[in-house]
Amino acid sequence: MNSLDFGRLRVIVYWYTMFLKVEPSSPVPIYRQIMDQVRFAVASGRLGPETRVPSVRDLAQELQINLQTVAKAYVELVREGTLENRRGLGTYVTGRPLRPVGLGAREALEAEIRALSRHAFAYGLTVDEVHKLLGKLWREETK
Amino acid sequence: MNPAFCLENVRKWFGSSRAVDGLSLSVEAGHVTGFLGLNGAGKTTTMRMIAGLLRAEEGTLEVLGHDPWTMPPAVRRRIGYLSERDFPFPEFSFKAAAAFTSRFYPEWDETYLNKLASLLQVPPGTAYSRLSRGQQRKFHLALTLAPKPDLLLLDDPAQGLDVTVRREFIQSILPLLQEGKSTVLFSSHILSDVERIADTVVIVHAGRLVLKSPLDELKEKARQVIVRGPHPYELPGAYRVRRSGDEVCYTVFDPAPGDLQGLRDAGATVDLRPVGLEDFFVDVVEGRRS
Repeated sequence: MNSLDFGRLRVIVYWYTMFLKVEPSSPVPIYRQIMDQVRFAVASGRLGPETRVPSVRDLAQELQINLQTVAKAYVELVREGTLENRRGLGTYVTGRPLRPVGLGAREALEAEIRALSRHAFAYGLTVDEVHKLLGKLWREETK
Repeated sequence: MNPAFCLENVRKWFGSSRAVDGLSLSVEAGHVTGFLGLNGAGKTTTMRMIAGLLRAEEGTLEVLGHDPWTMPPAVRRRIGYLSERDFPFPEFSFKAAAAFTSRFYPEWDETYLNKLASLLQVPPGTAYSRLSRGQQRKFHLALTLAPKPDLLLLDDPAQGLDVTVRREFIQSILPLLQEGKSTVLFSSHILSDVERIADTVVIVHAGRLVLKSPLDELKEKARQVIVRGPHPYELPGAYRVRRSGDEVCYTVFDPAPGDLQGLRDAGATVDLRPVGLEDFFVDVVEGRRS
């Protein structure tokens, strides 16, 4: 690998890990946190098709977590078609449309929305206000 | 996968104090396992028995295919043990300590040792007793890792380190743990460290195994189930049950859908809440105590 390639890879690694953040103490498994964030980055176009993502080893090093955890997230992301391995080249974003998430992730999301509903209710917000706010934030986050 | 070590019904009492009291535990090769329990739960005693430094009174132990108490030196050398105690020769510098330790290992790799020392930033010439606490732990760790042990036992490796030094320490050991194909068993009271490093957790209490689970699975399956209203039966398998008013909170691992549905059918409100490792650990231990 010449120095130019190496430099480019570094840029990708830093740029990429800047928005990946894991919270080890969260009840959400770390591999799932990584999956969720990669999926979001792909869905929102921040990680375009054909982008090379860092190696498992590099990402584990950057995030300071167990290598197996990152490997598991990648295996799952490859399995569902978000990423693909290219022999001898690394792991890339496929650019295929995301498939809806499985039941487990849906349940987790439902629990979060339930908690959110309670908070909103406790703060005295009406359901219409929550809808409006959700619509605004949704547009901001996904544009 | 074949187990790196396997304990069956192991007991070790000190007088009337039941340090380890019928512990059965098997850990597969290649895993990094966080070993959790309160002070006095039997973690150190267990590690010392695995390392062959203490003899079990009852039960069987198999470590790397041998009884650790009688294993031949060649097998013993494949076990690395970082004790929670201080390095026994406080006047030794790292250089002297390495020279001393190397005599016990015919295949001592000086290059690897130097790599470790520079990675962990251990000053080579300063006596152990004059190093900071963080440097002392790294000094000790570098010596433990140098022989590239197949089985690595770390007893509270980050103990006594302040928060910044601990983080730096964890950051420096992570790549080392992943570099080799070692099986690692490490105890810690800092659960966020365990969550970064471990792929499996083992919880012991009062000298017995309470739970062993892959960490991801634990997070996906550990739940607090909050039940309000009619209550025809207690949720089975709860580690801890707490009551407040007409609300009951059960801490469970992987609640059976049938059990939950039964409560709902009886007219109860049933809420499931994910639990982090720390809360789950506290619930499991508190549930055992009461």
